[in-house]
Amino acid sequence: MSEQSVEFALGEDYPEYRREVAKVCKDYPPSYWEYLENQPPSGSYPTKFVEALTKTGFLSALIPGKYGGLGLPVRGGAAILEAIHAAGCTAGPCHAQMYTMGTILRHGSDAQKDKYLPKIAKGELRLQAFGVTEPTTGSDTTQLKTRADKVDGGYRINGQKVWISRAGHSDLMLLLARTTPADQVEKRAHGVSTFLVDMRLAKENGMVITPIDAMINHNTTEIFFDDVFIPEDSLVGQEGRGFRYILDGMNAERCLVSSETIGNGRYFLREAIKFANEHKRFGRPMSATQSVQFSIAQAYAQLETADLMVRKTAAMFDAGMKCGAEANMSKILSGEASWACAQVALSIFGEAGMDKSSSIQRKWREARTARNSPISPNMVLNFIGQHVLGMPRSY
Amino acid sequence: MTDELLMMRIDDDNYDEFRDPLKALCAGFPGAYWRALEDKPADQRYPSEFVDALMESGFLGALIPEEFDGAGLSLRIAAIILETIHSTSCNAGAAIGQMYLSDILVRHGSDAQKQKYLGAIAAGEVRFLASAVTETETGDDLAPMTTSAAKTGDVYVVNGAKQWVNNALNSDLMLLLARTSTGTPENPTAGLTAFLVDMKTALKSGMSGQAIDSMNNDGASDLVLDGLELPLDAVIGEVGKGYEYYRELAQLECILYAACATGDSAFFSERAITYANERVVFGRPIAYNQGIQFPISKAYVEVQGAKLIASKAAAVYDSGKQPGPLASMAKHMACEAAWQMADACFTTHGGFAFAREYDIERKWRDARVMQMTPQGRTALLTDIAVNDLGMPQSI
Repeated sequence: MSEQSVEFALGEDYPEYRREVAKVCKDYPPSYWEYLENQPPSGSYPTKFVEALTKTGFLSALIPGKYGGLGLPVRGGAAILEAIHAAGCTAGPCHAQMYTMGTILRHGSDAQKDKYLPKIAKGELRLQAFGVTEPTTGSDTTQLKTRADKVDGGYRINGQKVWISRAGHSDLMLLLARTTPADQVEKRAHGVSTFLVDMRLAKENGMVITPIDAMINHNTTEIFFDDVFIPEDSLVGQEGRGFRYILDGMNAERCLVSSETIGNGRYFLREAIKFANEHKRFGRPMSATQSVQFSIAQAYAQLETADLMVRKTAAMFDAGMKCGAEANMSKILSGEASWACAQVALSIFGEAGMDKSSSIQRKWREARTARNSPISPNMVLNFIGQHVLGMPRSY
Repeated sequence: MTDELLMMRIDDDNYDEFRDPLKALCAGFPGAYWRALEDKPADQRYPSEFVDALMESGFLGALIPEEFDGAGLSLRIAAIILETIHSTSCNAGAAIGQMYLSDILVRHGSDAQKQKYLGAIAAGEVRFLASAVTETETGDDLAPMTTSAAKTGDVYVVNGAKQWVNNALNSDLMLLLARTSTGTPENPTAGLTAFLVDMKTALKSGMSGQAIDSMNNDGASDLVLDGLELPLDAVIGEVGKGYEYYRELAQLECILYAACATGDSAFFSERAITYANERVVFGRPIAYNQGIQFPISKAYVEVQGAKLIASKAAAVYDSGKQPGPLASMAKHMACEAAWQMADACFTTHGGFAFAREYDIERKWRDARVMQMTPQGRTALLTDIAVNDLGMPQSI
């Protein structure tokens, strides 16, 4: 439970970026997102919004300056994502552009970095897809069954991935596949490799993407690999070490998605307070009723608390410190806090919030999803119980 | 909902020079000491030996500025002192007043009051442990306060009654809030004045006290003020400004009690984890069961969050600003988290939680009471809702 000293800013950090984000988001009101939700899954990608964000350079916030990015620390990216969500928009369709590249940055070859990072930074190439989850492996990632068999000049991929968001709208995908069968490795985490797959080529070579119609518009898909050939230089880092590389990126991911969740919480509270102050019930503002007022104050206190954990995690990550516990705690605190905000907002708006033209119900669905994804709260509690508090592995 | 870009430092592990000697001191007052006190009649339960030891240690003068012979330490350090005490079997309630009540003298006292008392309080020679605010008809709402102080010649004559005054019968000085004029419709708490009462003199003439037999050993007593004469120089600051001073003091109080609560949480988590790892049921330690492990892990996450918000409040205070509702948030979150951890610990211990020798039930009672006093949930959430979020008064 020991930690070194770490320092972070309180309040509205990166104000210039937050302002710029708010300006972009103004052009994408609730009606824009509602329109997209009414499209079939294949046509629901917020292309215009993503293009507008790409132009600002914010999606390449974490890419170093020498590859054409903004070179911000994780906290900078977190502030940007928080601002997007606080404005009522959603970064889900494009946030992976921000962090998936971290695996390339930390473990890729110079050739891979030179080839891809500048184009990702410019928005010419989209790296939005992250292929890990499979139908029979959720939290138990090392049980994945998708295989990458070494062949002359490359690998052949066979298997299936599910809940791969944005795959239909991405040029590149980071793919996790087994290169050595599980029964031939010492530890289950060994023998799994990470590949940077050019989806444009893979689609011509037997990769099939099927959209999933889901509760939230995250453009999520199923992907089938039927003997798909990928060239040798797709391999990231060393063969068999891929699980480690993915884990490295997860703390940044948890920090960033927790920031989006905080942003959603801010959106809910702003809207809920405004509504409750302006609408009268029984002769006085709804907000003068304690069941309303205390629920809001409680949710706000939780949100402010979660926000600090996210800031702490980012500061630790940016300082190169181990931050697995904090990243996990950020995830669960932000998820619970944002859900408290979502519940109180929906209750206060009542039917006005359930109307499909209202963003309250859309954001409420997002808030629920954020409690399960990208990590189950049960796995967070397992991590804390086992690795922080010294209790035995319960599963 | 914005605050300035203040930097916050997390360096919990860097204060062994405070923690180690305090832990050693507290080790001299194990559970058996506190249990024996609880067996005594209400008026004999005061932990005199423990308070003597703390007074001698000098830690209680942490917040008094150096110019008045105090240690002039930050609120952050004061919080660490209290957190450490509460992480043991001990409870700082009998002595905590010494740490912060004198702040009203530092800010508003006359030069004569400062010279006379602050150095002696810092040295532990004079005890300033009690504040008499609550009455039968005033709790969170101080407007109906009826205890009056009437200026008659060169004295104030005080009449009325106070309730739930902790440590009043074991303190040399007491802060008294009494009405010197009626409030106005716009400002019903105007006209309250703060007095510094010399208890030895007062208890001889004009004041009587009766210890209250209550669920936990908080040293509370009822006071009757029957023609108590106070010299004119007993007034602290300006006549009629008592409520404002009290609100200032309440912020400090909230942050310090938040520290007590996080200390309690540390006590409970340590006991819970140790017991869960050792206690074997159905052939294995009960910590293997997620039904046991998850509530502990979840409460731990809440506690870590609460520690951050409490540190933020302390950081804002230490930067010279009034933390305002942030202090309320700190106490609220810390007490809620402590209660969760207390309950998880209680459940983990099963029947043994009821057995007094484990000290779980004693600390558990303390944790429940701390949610209510000082500054209970209603007052805290109202402060957040009205003064931070801009909602109307609900009460």
